[in-house]
Amino acid sequence: MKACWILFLQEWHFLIRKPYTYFIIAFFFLLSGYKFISGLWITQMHVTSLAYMPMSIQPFLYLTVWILPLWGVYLWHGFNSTSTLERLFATNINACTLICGKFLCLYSIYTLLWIVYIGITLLFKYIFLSSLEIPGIAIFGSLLFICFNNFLWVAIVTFINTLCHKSSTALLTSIGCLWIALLGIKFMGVFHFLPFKGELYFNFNPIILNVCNWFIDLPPILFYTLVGSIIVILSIVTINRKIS
Amino acid sequence: MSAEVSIEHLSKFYGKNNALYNLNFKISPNEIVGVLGPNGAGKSTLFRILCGIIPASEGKIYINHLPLTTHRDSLKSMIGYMPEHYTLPNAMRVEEFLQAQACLKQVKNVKKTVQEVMEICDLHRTATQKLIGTLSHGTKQRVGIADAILNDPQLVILDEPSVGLDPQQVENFRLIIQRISSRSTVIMATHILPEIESICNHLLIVHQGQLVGDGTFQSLYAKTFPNKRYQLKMLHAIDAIKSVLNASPFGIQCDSVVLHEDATECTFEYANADSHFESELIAWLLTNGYKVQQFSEVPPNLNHLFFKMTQFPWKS
Repeated sequence: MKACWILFLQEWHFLIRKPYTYFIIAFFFLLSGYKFISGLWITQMHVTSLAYMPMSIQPFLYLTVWILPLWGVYLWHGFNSTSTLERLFATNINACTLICGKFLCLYSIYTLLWIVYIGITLLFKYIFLSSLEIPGIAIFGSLLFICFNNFLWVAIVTFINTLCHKSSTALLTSIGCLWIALLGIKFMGVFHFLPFKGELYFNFNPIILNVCNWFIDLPPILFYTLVGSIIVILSIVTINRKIS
Repeated sequence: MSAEVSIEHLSKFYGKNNALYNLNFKISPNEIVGVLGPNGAGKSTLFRILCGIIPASEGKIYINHLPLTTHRDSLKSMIGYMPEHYTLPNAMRVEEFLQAQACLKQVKNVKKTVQEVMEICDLHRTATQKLIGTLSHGTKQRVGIADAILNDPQLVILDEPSVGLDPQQVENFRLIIQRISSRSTVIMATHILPEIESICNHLLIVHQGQLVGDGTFQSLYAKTFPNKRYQLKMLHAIDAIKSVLNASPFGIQCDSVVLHEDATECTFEYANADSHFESELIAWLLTNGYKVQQFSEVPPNLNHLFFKMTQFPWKS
């Protein structure tokens, strides 16, 4: 556990010292600026209620999820070689610690960006749209959704990086897999392949509405955490296979 | 304090393949052990097992009388390992990388320790703030060694640390190993045999997953070549030399015959070589009209030992 925490801190330390990180953050906020302005326009035209938050967040997810492969590849660069893994495993680090450390680093930095984004959205709302009502619980619902949702995307990127030997392959495969996952989950909803209401897995309006009614919608939460956890376990197995 | 290593009946199987089979040896504290063997002999597998990275299929490993299987975590902190084809993060600076590694190894007083190991590995003057990606191969290897000794290990394992180094860097590397060996037991694998000959005081020769040699160079040489070896250069054709030596009163069989520009060189062993043998052979050759250019006893040579011990059956 201590080794995982040290690795997590190190990865953070490594990321925040590199200009590449700030390039990605700038890219994220550039997209958020674009989305926010278009969101403001839509809000002024049509929306006067709670629906504002999902409207601003959901399309933004499509836009920003692609920065995860860029970050993932950077974080895993050099860790694809057996000798790097051997060097690490000769210390008290094992496959589980390595995956958890890197996963948590990517997850926390990406989720933090989302929290900042929602914070900025609220700040602008208070400045420019003070008449618009957004209950605090809706913000909590949005955050909750983002936290569980990011779990799956980060797990996919981590898994692909453990599989691939080259950074370029990992980048392209991650983008492809995220695309397949996004479309797959959407179509599972459209064609009712799941025993639950399919939209729950992709559209997070219900989760926010349910949170507003003091009821947390469990199926999407379970879906994202369960699938994400399975993928994380697969990543650990992959690393173990690589080293043996 | 340096470590004592004991290995009993160690085997590693990958499916039906024996990567290592029934290895038994002991390493005393402060020894510099050279592990020799052709590519694919099982050296790196042995090192990975010793470092606790992969488990052995059979057998026991004791480090300081503690079994590795049950004391893996505590023993790992006593071991410093530099793997083969050591890769480093090119985007990091040397000091930054070593500090990160020191944190991972849970070293106390990180800055002081990093400074110390950089001095041992001669990195403190120029390389400290350089990006690893801009370093020469030799300097990168020294960073690897510095990383291996960060936790002040009792046992340092280096897998082909001198590969690709120029002669000057090899000399520097020898000095570093000698410095490290004053406080740790060192086990290293290399294909550069003169290096092993000059640094190591214990040899392990691994071939096809089996230990074919264990001891000092002198003891292994004496065991493998019990007879004296001689080198004879004559101004005659290969076949002529072979038949002449065989027809001599000494009945000599040539091990190898090499044709040079000016002469033919023949190497042979002679079992009953007494103090008069050399002069008697020369006298016999000269009286029979053969032209001898050079005749000398071959000094013990690790190359010969290595080739003899790792000879493939179909080549012998």
